[in-house]
Amino acid sequence: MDPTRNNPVIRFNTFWWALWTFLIFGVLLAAVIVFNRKPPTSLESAAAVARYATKDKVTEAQSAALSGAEIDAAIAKVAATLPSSKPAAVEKTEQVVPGSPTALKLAAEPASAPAANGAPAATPPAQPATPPAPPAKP
Amino acid sequence: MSLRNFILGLSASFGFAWLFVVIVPFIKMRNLEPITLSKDADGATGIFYPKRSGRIVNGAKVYAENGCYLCHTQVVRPTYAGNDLYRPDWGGLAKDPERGDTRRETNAYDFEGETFAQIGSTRMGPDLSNLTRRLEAAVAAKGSGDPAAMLYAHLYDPRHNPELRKSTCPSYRYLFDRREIKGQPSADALPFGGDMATELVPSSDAKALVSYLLAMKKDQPAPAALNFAPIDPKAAGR
Amino acid sequence: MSSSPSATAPSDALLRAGIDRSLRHPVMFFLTSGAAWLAVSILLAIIASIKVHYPEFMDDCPCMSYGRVFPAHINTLIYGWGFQAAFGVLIWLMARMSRQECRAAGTILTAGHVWNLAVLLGTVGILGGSGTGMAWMEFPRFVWPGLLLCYFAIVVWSFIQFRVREGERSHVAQWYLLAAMIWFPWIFITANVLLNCTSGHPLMAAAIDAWFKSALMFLFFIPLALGTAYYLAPKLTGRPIPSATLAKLGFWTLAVVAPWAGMQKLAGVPLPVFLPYLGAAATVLLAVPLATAAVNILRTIFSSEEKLPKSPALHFTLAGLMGVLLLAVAAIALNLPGSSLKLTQFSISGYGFEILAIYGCFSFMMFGAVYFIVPRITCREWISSRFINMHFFFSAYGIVAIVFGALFGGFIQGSAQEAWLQPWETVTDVVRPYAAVSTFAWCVILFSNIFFFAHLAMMWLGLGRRGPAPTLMDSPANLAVPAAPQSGH
Repeated sequence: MDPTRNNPVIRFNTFWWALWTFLIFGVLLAAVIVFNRKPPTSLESAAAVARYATKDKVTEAQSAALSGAEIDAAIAKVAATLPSSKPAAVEKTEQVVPGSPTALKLAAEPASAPAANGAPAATPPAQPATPPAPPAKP
Repeated sequence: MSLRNFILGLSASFGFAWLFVVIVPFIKMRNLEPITLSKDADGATGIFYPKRSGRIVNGAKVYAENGCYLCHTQVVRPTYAGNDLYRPDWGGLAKDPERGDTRRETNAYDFEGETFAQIGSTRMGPDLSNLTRRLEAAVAAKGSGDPAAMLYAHLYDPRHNPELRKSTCPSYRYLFDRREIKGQPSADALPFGGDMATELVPSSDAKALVSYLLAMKKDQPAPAALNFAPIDPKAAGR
Repeated sequence: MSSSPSATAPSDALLRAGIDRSLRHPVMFFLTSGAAWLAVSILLAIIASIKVHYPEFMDDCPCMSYGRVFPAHINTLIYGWGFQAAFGVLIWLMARMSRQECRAAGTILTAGHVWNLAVLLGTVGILGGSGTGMAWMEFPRFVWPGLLLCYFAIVVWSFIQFRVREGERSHVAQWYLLAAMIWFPWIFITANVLLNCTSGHPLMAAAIDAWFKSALMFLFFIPLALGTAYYLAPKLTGRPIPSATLAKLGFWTLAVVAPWAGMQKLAGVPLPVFLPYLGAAATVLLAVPLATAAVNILRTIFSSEEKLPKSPALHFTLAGLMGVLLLAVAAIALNLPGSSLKLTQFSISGYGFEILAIYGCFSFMMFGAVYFIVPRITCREWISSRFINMHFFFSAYGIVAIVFGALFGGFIQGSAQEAWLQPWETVTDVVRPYAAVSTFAWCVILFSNIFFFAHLAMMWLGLGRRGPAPTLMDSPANLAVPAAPQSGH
């Protein structure tokens, strides 16, 4: 209707309206994406849920079987007695370190040795002392 | 009709389709829930997860870059949409020694790990969904062979295999390098094309592609929710 | 529905001459660079087609591997030729119909050069092995934003020209052109952002790619073709479009139906089942707008008993309209779920359908527009009617061979694919002859287009004939003698 539609103002406005028209669905798409930013759950993560549940059950059972407080108490007790205890000779054959002089001596002894307790022998200072049986520690 | 009404009309007619055919399905499929298996129907618990091993991402990229999707498809259609499932070795194996008939149609979880499912545009070559099952069955029948080596040989020269002498698959020899033999020949070297001093070995692109193709075994048992195979009356009676 | 009547003849002629002069450089640039890309695309098509029946051809060269050459062919056909022909014709038609001179020729030319650079980079990317593997979007990912920006810089001025035109009435051709202009960014942004910038389910990515292919054909190329035909037919024959109702119906049914089409290529794929079947239904229904527009324009052309001048533009437009009718029939024949869809889904008939749409319909209309526009903007007439005849007839023979070969061959191939008791070699054997036909046909088309390129290049160099009468298809082959130097259209 307006014969002077051909003027710089209308042209300028139309330029931006044109861009807006071209971009309508781009903008809508951007809005859709912004509201759906959470990355999709992969099958791996979904499968992992069961694994994590199992792991939690295991951890719970383990901590129930073994109370932390008991362990701390036991550690305190051992820590108190450990500095003053002296290395004692080994009493059981099973606790002799293979390859140590004690073991070699035992092996060199005649066959009567297996029935008796493993004969304790003084270990040279350089060898690590076979420690007394420590309290069960997980 | 003014320009404004014209654009409104265009937006409405386009927008309706855009929303219902593109956007909403995209968002909903993006959040596709995994299928939870049930002890009674499926005999297992957890979710249905047709896991694939191998270099899926790298291999899919090489597959896309070299246009394999132009001639090969990766979809086994249900019987109402095509006869793919009737073929003996496309949807699985019709006569697998351990499981019997393992054929199934493709399901939505078969493309896990890829960003773009290479469904394919034409079938000049066979469908690849269960390519490695076919190769493994051939190896088992013959008693010797190796699917990886067979794939490398096919990529280098598709017409080398006398059974495929009419194949129109392009030769991907540019995915292989000619290398001097240092000491022993390489384990991946092609059994042909070399000489006393040189051998043909696959490049890392070829290895990625073959690793991807070796994962083409999409005949895991479908969960009951997705199993549209006809019920065997003898099995159902048990 | 015609544009408002012109003012007194001389000032209107001056206005039109001014418009043509302002658009001379951008339009000739788009047409010649588009034609060059068409040559490249057809050459790539020939190489790709040879490899289907003779795979050892050029198999030492990694860039010429089928998996790279074929996407390069399709993408150069669409983005190199299709879009540039579209730009050239669109900006001229919109300027003329709005009767506004082009004031942004410099911007348009620059954007055109950048467009060419982007297409070149994309093509080199595909041939070098960096294609994305997504049909019709195989250019490496950095290319699409550049293409989009160039697009805005080229077409926004036509939008402005339409807005500031005198009078309120608009021609049906303007609706089609404006709509195509607006639809393209909508589909391009949607597809590229969803596929390249967001992560979603891989099957939906494939579905949206298929939707994009169909939408690009039916919401950009076909509307441009129909708009051009709606402009040229009344202009060349001097007769009005017979039915305004059919024109409106044709346009709005296209607008409503076409956005739903495309996903029929994923029938049987594990997607929500309504998606592919809606796509198939929409594609079948597309026959309605296509046939409506084609019939309306054909009635314009044949609405009187008088003998029509053998104008090249009219010949190409008629051929394009035959293409549109064939496309309408093919849209129905190829996509009937339950019968033909399963046969054609993974066969070469998809390629035949796409080439019919892009070459048989769109490119023929563009050729018609080129033969109409170039004399007006260069103020010269086409030199050789023989060249025009060679271009027309060999293109027509070539496209008929490819389209019928691919459409029919696709059905044969599909039937062989469905014959599940036969070994797969049967399918390969069956396709071979159709691939050979396709190679031969593309060679014929390349031959026809050599005449087009040569002719267009000569016109660009200003070697056109000066004369009062336009060059017609039955002009004497040797048009040596120039008459009075003015050309009055």
